[in-house]
Amino acid sequence: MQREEVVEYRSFDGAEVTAFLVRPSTSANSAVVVVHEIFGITDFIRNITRRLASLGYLAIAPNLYSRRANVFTEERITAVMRRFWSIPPERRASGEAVAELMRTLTVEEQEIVRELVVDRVKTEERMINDVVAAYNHVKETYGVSKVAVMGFCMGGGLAFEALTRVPFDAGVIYYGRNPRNLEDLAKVKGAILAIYAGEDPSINQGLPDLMRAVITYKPRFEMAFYPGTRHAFATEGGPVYNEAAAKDAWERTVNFLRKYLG
Amino acid sequence: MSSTGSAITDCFLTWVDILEETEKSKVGGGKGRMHRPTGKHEHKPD
Repeated sequence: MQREEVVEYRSFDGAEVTAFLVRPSTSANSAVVVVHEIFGITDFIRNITRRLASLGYLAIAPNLYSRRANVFTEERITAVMRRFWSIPPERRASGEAVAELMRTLTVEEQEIVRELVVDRVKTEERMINDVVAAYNHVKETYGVSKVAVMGFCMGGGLAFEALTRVPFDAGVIYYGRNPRNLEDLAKVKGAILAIYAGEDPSINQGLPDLMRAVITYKPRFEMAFYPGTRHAFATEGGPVYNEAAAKDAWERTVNFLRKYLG
Repeated sequence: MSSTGSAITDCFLTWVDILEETEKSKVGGGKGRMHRPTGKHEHKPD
């Protein structure tokens, strides 16, 4: 029987990061680090983690909001997103417009905007380092021989970046942003499966550069592209869930993990 | 939406758009820009 628990590991800065861990019913030789979407550890992420354990992998989903888990809840993050509707779409990335909006928010909401929008570079680096620390924790603690990383949306971009920092054996990127420096693809040890939605302009505008980098640096790279779907199409229960595409992508994911993790 | 250069902020702003489009089209019954939600699933973003 699978066993679920919340564990803690020490990250790069000494902070304790909590993580949702599912152990498979049999002893695991491989592990998968699951990197969550912008909403944190949700039912969807827990279910993905359970599914991976049902395949025989030790699966662990770090909560990248651990340091402020009481503030960064799914409900509050969603509420803050709705507050952005008051800004015209073309100005939503503008520092001035965001600063104006900030003045109308609660202290907790301001903290969310500060972390996810204003101080994004710092936040991103901390989250990537937390994923790297999860890799080290899994290797040191659970006696597995191979480790993969899998990320969704925001977590896809973080997972892609983490692949360039530590020698994961494989990475599955669901609609994730490219690594900041595409030359870092040369450092990737593991195979990559990158999954994209057809209608996802902010992510897909990076694909031509990514393709050029793949041709130049030659990582083991597989790609699946789903026309007619949107960012987060695999999020079961979400507003843009596409069942057919999600099932196909999961089948590809399982085949890919079997190939590279065993 | 153009990229902000950050996986976090790009994702955040993409979700602002998705929620706006799907929730407003549910309330107003109007068309979304690209795809209307099917109504098959309750809105519960992850």
